[in-house]
Amino acid sequence: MAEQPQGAAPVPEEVQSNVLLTTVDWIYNTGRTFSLWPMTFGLACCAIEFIVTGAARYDMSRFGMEVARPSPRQCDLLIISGTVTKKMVVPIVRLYNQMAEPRYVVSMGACATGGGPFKEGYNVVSGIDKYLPVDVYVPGCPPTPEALLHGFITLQNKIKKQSVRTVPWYRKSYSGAVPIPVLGPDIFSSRPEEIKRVREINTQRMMATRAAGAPTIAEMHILGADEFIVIRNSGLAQDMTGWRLHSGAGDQSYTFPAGFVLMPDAEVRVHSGPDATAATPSDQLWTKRHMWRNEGDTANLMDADGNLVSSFSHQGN
Amino acid sequence: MSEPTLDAALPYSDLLPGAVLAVEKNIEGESLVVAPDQLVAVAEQLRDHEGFDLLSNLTAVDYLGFPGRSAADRFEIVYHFYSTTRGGGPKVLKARLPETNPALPTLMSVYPGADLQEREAYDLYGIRFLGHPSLRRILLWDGFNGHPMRKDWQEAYFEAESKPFKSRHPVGHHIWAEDRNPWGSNVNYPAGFDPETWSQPVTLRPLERHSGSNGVSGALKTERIVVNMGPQHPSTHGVFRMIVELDGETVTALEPEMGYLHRNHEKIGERNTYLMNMPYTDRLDYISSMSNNLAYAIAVEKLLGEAYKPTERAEYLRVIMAELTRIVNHLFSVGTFFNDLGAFFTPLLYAVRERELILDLFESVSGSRMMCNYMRFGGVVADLPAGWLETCHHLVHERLPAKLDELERYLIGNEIVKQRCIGVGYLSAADALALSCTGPQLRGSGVPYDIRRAEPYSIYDRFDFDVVSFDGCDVYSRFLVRMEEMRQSVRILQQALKQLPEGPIQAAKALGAYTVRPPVGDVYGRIESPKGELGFYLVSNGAGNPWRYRVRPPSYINLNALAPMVVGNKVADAVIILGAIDIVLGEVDR
Ligand code: SF4
Repeated sequence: MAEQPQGAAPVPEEVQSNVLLTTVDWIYNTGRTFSLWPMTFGLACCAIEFIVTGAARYDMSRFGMEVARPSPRQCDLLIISGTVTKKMVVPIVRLYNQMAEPRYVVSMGACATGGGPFKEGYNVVSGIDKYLPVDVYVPGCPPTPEALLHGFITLQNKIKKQSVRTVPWYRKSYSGAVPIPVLGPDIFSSRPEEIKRVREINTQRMMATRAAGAPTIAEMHILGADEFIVIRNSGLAQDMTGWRLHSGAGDQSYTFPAGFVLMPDAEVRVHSGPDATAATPSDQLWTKRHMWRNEGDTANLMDADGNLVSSFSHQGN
Repeated sequence: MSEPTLDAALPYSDLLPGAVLAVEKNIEGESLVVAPDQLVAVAEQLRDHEGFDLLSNLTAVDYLGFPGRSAADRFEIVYHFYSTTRGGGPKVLKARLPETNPALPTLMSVYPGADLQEREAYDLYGIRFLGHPSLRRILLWDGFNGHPMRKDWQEAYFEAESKPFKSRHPVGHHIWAEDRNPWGSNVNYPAGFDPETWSQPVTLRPLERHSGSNGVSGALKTERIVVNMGPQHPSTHGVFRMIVELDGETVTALEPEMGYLHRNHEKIGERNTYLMNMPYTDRLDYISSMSNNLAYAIAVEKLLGEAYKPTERAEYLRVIMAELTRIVNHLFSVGTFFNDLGAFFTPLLYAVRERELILDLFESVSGSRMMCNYMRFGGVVADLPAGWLETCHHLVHERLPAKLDELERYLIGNEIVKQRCIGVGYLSAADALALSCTGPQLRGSGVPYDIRRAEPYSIYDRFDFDVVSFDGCDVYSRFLVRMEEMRQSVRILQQALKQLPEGPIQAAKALGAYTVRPPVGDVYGRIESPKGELGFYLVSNGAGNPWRYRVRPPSYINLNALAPMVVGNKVADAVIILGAIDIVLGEVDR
């Protein structure tokens, strides 16, 4: 009997030959490795091969992962066995969050890994790893049961290399919970940085469409004593000093006054004819004479350099 | 495509004047173009006086930009009616709708089975069916932006209208789809979408109106509760969801909810060339991929015409594969059905053992256990490897008959099984027909309708077999139908193996024909798949990819009967009733 360290609890005689000394990591890892409980949860075609892996011929219980459980609370292993759709990723993330730590994810098959044959589909998520941390990817469409078993064994080897000192789930204030995505007009992640990014890109796109827009002739009302042309601005605010509205048939021009600015989405009407009046900046008076031919005419809008910006034809009466 | 006939010659011009606008000749026969407001009257005439008791297929087509079409007839709704008593081909009705506000009356008053298919057309095409009791989205979610099957709706990773995409061509460099999309992922937000200010639309919960106290007077006050089953639930065979309202243990209302596996098969199918769709059909009903191959091949061959008629040997190989598939499917379905009953996994182990042997055969002939991709237009892709026939012969003549006996001995007479199943999930023959049910579900209600007999395709008219039907109208009958159908499949297999001729496996014209361009037209090809009537409705505009690629999924349409069968039963029975429908989500959601 070895010398007792001072202050250590005495080890009874009958136990002494039955004690095995090892590291904490080994105990933890061996326990986890050979009692992986996968979730009974199938998504698509790959799930059938998963079921078969559990059946007599391949029998995954040989490798210590026999007990498949339908409740996420009791499982360690989430097998994403099939195509992840946008509609389904919301419950999947919720299931993942409901599992207790430590939890592992195996992405089974081409679909779960990257969208597979259905990647271009509008309802398909191109890879579960866009939402969940994945431990092992198993290729195939579907992976054969042997391939899946190889994936499991790879996961086991990975678990064997973990150490309680470095794994995150014993840390204080650690939470592996993943934000649950939301189904809007299309799916969006509820992570703040992601929301910010979507917003920024959308604003940029709106600005780009905006910048591509310009004042255009939207309507022509040329029959009657108050004829007017509507010019609408679908782009950014535009200084229209020196811009001209030109009548095709009569070859006459109206020049906008200096300092005239057309705001985004605003419109201006240019009036002519005996009854024409103009009270506000958005109604400009050209002349009291008829300027447009009632049998049909074309209006052209030119910028200060004389480039044609917009053109509109009226068929006449 | 269309050839308007004279008014006097139009059908029903005496009975229902103005109902039929034109008669269109096409590849298969003719179809009647009906005025939308007269549709219900024509359908009543078909059902009550002409014996067309089964509304099999109902779908929409978007003809935006199709030659000869304008905004006034952009959408078309196509109906295929069959007669289960006479058999034979379909009666095809078409209704044309304009681009703005497309709407037409629902057929649910005549054929209640139109329910799910109309909801699908509404979801994917935005066509409204006036009078439909709950016209809501079904595959996508409320609030989804747009109707994705419309031709002018483009998916987030949209690249071109048809494949092969330029970026995948040998000369080009492959471009990541993610890089093309500004958001870097498979999403597409409408202009002006702001995730922070966006709020969830209020969705209609159809069951809410039922809940509350059940109004029974007396000392014991009970309340109805709404329970959610799925999409992650071991009994739903995938990602199906049922919302059930319970009064105690009894189900008082049920609402199926699907689309969790909606992977846009039909939209992708329109971009693919005809041949490219073949492996996709494997993934529809992924338990019976060979049957799906067969149905699709038959539909395309109808479009392509005589030159693509399969050779004799190919026909036999197809039948052999299809019948082996039927056994695979029924084994799996019976096995999982016993899981649902509570015999957890043991019967499934027995069933899967036999299934594995057949999968070995599939693997050696096609290269893959499940996703066989075996059939081609005009034949099959590979001949049998050496030794295949002997293995199959042993299986079909010795192993399978013995094992089927064994399964029957364990399962059919089992007292617990009888107690649980007999009288549960009652569906009368009339209801089954009205709800458009097909396959074992219909034959379990005593209607001996099997397309192999009613409208023989391939070479099924050469074999001697019985159409199995049991008239218990319950879960037990459906189970018996499956057990007995396996025996009939073995019978067909024995004959087919004996008669299998030598010869080429592909029609001469079809050899190496990777891109086929069928003539303009539309066609509906269907087979008796293990789950029911599996049909493909194809519209061709003469190009290498289909204009419309529609799958008529039997298990999706059989779900019409789920709520009527379950309501009134116990919640534990809901599980086995669903199990006896035998759904596969790849096919239900596509
Ligand atoms: S990877 Fe293949 S087999 Fe697996 S779910 Fe996707 S399509 Fe089906």
